[in-house]
Amino acid sequence: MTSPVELPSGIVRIAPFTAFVQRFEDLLASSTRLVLYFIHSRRWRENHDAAIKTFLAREGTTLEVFLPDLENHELMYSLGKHFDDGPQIPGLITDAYRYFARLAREYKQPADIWLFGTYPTFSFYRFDDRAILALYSNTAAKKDLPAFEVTTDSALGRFVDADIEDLKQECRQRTPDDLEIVIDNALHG
Amino acid sequence: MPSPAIHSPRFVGSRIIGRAALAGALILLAGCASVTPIGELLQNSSKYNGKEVRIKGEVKESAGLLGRGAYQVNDGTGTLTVISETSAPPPSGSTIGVKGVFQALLTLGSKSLAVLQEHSRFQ
Repeated sequence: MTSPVELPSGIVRIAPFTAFVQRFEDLLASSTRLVLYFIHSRRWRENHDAAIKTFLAREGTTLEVFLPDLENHELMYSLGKHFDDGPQIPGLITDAYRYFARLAREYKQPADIWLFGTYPTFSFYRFDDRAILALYSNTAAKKDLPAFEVTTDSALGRFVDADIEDLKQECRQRTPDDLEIVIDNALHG
Repeated sequence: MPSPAIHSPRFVGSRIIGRAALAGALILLAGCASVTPIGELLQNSSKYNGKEVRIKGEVKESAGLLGRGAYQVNDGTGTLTVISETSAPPPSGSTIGVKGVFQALLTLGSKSLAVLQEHSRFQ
């Protein structure tokens, strides 16, 4: 991992996403705000499950989550085409729905989930004064995904914050309890 | 030496009519027999997954995102999202036949999240 030197862009670290495991643990331990935007991030949820729960158990913390809209069949089809684990993606998204619904039952957070229907170009994990952005590949071939840690008061950080506000306008908002209805609506038969 | 009777205009005419009737019946039979009810596809998604099928019904919702034409077809037995890589989606409310590959993206219990990848359309 490169040494943390702040650049005008706000980038303080660039490394493969997999190299950020300890950094995520540190950020979860020290932050009060977390905003997540990803497709399902199963590995990240598994790696940081305990830290996520500790974060939620701390008083004053907030969690907001953006996930793909399972009822958008075209998005599900497109995601399936663009990842090497494509056929599993709708199932992994369902798993992510249920994971956050379980957290909400136990910790009362996240209070709401936003469901996006447009194809994601990058994922982000926004903490108090830092955000980690990870690129998605333009092909289905599996590869290490590059990630950037940025300060939230930088150009890239403000870009993420603007995206969060715009996403809240564009996405469908659902309570965690409603996610089972979304899953049921997405399925026919 | 061939019999003059089989070259008579009456025989040739009846032979043409017979062949046309047979061809028509085959087309009709093929058309009817190969249309699979959407409800059947969704209830037996693993059986049809990856197979080319034909559906026919009313276009319920027409939308195109991500450079694709996507629309929903309802045939009275169920609704299926059709993904078209090459054509614009048909207008809502129209009746359409679609041939394509059925893809079950997710199955939980007896229910499926599935799409039809459009290959061609028919009336």
